[in-house]
Amino acid sequence: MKKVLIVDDDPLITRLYAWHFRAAGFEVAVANSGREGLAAVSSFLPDAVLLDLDMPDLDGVHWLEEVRKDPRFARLPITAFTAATYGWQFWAASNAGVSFIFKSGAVPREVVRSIGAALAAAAPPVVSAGPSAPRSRDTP
Amino acid sequence: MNLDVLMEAAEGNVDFARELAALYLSGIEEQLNLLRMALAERAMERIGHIAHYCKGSSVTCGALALAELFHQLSQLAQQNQFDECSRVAADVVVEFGRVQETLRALPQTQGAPT
Repeated sequence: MKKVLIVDDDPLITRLYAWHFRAAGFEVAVANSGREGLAAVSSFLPDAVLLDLDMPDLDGVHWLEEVRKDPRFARLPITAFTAATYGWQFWAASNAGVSFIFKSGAVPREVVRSIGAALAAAAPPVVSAGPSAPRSRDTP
Repeated sequence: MNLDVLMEAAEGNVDFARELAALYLSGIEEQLNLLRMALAERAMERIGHIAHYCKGSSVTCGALALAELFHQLSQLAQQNQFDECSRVAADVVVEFGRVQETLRALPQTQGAPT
């Protein structure tokens, strides 16, 4: 089961996305602040992160910079969303290593689907050796 | 208020839509209390942060007119226009009343709660 960490200080958003990710078969962890999210990324070791760029204690751009410093998370898919309309935040988040950005109000199903697709594309192909044989992952 | 947005977010699940609506209403009520304090203290940066936070939730729940007011409030706070902020904040309170009325009238489901 793939693991996703949701980092957002808005309980509405965390509940909404937790529901959607669980429905899509993900294991979910929630962090309600940027600092809590930094701790959770190391303990939960997610396969993907959904991050709010606009948190009061630690904004998303700095959060990204902190996480990307750790080699374990250099390639971790991190999807951010924001209510901001200013271009500088998109630019700063891109420079800090965000994988995708959605605007607030994006359809949750689409956000979850795109993260699932990105993870599936990044995963090594599953090779089936026959109907009765165990399935194994091909090594890259 | 565009309930289709909320229902789409909830995948048509009325119980979940009601849960989201309740979370949204309590969250905005809390933020409006903080906004009143920030206005009383003329704390423009806090006004901007609160408006920005509320805008995102409002878009998610389909309270689009309210989201637009929060957007205006956020911009005015950035421009340090206190009198205009007070005027828009009053409009926010009126519009939030409409949103409350609409969301509290969401239908109950007939089935057992899950």
